[in-house]
Amino acid sequence: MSLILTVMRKEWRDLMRDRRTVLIGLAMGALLAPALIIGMNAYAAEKRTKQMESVLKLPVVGTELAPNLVTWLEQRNVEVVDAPAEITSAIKEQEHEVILEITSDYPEQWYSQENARVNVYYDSSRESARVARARVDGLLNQYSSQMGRLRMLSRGVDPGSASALLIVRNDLATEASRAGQALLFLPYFLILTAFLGGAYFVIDVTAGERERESLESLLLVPAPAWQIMLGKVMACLGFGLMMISVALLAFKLSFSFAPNLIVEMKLSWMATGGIALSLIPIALIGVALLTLLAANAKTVKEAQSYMSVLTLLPIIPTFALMINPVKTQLWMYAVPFVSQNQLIMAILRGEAVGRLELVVYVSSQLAIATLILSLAAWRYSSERMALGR
Amino acid sequence: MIEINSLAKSFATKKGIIQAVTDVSMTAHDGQITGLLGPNGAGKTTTMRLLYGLLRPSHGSVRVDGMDIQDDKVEVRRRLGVLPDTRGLYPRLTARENIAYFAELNGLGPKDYEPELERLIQNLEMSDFVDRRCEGFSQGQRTKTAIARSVIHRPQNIVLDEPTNGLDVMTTRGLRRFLLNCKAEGRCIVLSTHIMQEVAALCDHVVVIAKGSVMAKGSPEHLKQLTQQESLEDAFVQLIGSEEGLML
Repeated sequence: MSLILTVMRKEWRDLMRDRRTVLIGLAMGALLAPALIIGMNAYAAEKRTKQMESVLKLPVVGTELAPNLVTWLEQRNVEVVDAPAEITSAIKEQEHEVILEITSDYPEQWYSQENARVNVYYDSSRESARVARARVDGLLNQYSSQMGRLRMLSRGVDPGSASALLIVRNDLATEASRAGQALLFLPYFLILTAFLGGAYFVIDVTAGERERESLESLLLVPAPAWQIMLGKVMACLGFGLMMISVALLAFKLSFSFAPNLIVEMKLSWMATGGIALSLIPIALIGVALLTLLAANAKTVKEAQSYMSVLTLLPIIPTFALMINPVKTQLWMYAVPFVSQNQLIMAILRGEAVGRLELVVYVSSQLAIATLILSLAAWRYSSERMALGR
Repeated sequence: MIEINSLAKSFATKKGIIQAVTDVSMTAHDGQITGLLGPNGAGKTTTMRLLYGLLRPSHGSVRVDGMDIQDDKVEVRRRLGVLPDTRGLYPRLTARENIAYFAELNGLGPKDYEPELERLIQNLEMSDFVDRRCEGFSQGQRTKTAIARSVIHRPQNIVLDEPTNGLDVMTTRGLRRFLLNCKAEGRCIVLSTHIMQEVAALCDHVVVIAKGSVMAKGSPEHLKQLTQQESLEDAFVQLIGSEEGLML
């Protein structure tokens, strides 16, 4: 035990003397990102309100075919402008986000009380066109149902009979759960920070120590190699926890002070603490995995080349759940990244996590970390460790 | 005392099996300096690594003070001080902190190691740089610090892989004095070298290695008689069968 502490103390002191690296690591990983995200959020919120309330410039082909519709649109904050000659290329060139075409059959269909056809052109892959398209859709639907009701009245039919259902929407989202949705990015960011926050340090104390040629002497001290490894792992974990704390604190403060957020977002101290606790296992798994990789790598460079792949790992569950949202199930609490994602989302949404889920979470994550650490320890004890072959 | 018994080591590589050490047997006694002499690539470093238990032999055994190194690595290492071929230091720690770290890794508290640390600073003439960070140390300062860290736990047996490699005359002389001191204290010292003068100035017993095998062993005088040569140098050249890789 005292040997593990000796190694840990030395690695910690060694790291802290590399003040620049520590500061850059903390600033980049923990301070820059929240600032960036809060800033982007504020920008997005501003952009959305602007788009919803501003005058919508809508090119319409064939205005003369439906003067009533055009006038109706103009009364609702829409500025009808001249349409370009080539609709498709205008959309492609991003000259316009949405173009409305009134077909030449429109007057005839309208007067014979059929469905009068209009075409709406847009590019669904363009995020910026979404608001404009939604506005045009909404307006056209509104006009369509208004006119439909008038047609019915003129034939002496009760317009209400056209709708078999009366739909009343009751949104049960709480303030906290709505904030949780807006914070979909937050788990990924925190998990990544916990998972790879101390990566530079882990690689440095393993592959770096071998490259600086002091590892052979270290492995010759009268102690089992796994104890030396564990001391290094503990030091790295300590650094990782420091990064998590700084990142969470930065998030909490930016939520408290940032103006103009889409949804009221608050992190209580309880939630902050809960998130910190739920991130410790993934920090341990990250340190263990990097230790194993760095112990197997011949050089620091080789060890660092794994980083790009590892950075992507935590995204997978976030994306998978975004594309295919499934109900939380017990097995999810056993899978790294997925479980942290679920836990953090639950905390953000203000939901309680069951005792069984917590037991599954803690035991499975610790088992995974122990397995990886055993592999790394086995590697540390092998004769190839010091030689780097 | 270190006893080596018909040691062999081979490495499996992509190009096939490389036999680094074929057959090495020798005994290094307490109160003596034993030199492992051989040209570059003769298997010295591999033999040394087998000797201090970093590598596991394919065949044969190493006993330190009567204990087999593979049976009880931890206990054997307490009795061994090793200056390996790679002698990197921690650049952000001072020389003193580097040495103290290894004392603590050997289970010593500050009270136990501080007198020995002061003694080593005196004997190895380190006082003018011992509290500086190791970043930018000269080769001599680095080697002195590495030696001090390997013997801070006062081991009975000291193993050094080419200790005077790359050192200037003054540092080399200081180092030799230090090793002769250790010998006078009754410790067992093994050093590998390819430098002829080192053997003449230090060694009581010489083991000549070439191509992974022992070519001859005995005192320098004995080796001269054996080959009927006037100088040690000629004796070695005759023993290893070539002049390649040796330094005067």
